[in-house]
Amino acid sequence: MALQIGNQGPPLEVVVEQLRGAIAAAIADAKITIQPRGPGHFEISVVSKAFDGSSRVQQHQLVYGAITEMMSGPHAPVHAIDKLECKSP
Amino acid sequence: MSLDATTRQQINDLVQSNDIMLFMKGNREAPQCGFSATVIQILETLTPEYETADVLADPTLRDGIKVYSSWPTVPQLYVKGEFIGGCDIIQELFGSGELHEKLGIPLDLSIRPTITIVDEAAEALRQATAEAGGDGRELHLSIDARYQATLAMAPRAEHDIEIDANGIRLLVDALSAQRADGIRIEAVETPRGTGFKIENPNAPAEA
Repeated sequence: MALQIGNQGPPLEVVVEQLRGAIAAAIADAKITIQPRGPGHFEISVVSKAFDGSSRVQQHQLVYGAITEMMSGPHAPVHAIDKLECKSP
Repeated sequence: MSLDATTRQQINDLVQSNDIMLFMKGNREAPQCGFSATVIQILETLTPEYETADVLADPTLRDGIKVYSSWPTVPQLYVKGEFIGGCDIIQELFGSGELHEKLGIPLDLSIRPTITIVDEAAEALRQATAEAGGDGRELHLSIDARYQATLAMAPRAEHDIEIDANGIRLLVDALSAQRADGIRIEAVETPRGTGFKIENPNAPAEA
């Protein structure tokens, strides 16, 4: 019998799509690229006009604000965004 | 996740009533993570007048501050009601002098630590920088909050302090400079070639 160790959470592809959906809902014109980098770890790149004239911190806040829910609590499917890149088109 | 009104009000009060407000793990005497410790080190060199809130002591605050700031990690620094960012950004702003500016504190760039580089190490550094250089990067010495010293090639930052030691030009940021006085850099032979041993008399004794 296979021994299950811990709760692995939803598959990475599912989490990637959830992240994509959450960011797209918050930033309408966003072009989103997401690379899983291991369980709970992701790299995200977002291109949007919404970043025009914002500081890097403000740009990151726009994305993080959309996905905070997925990063909160003891069973968060997302532990860390290893790299976040925000660009204006 | 939504933020309940009580928690939002609690955070808002902290941010509005303290010019420098740090949300961290632990407290200034005993930070509970390396990132929080680094930010405390930076603040301590700038001013004793800051307030901290320990998110580990309050799970509601721990989740609440993430939503409040749209920022997923702790520590988080607010200055005069403005969200500044986390550890990376604070280090960056400190190195560039922008943090001093935001806090209205003059930047002390007059500090000149004495650094000794023995001849063999100087020669090895000369060779290493000649091989790695040429792309605008210069040799930096940085010393972190645990007094671990690192030599690295990096672009020059606006407020780097320039030290000449045994013919080698070292760039040191203002925070590292305060931890660097009396440092001695020696060359050591390792199976992978010449390495450097950095002795720092300012490092606290091993516990």
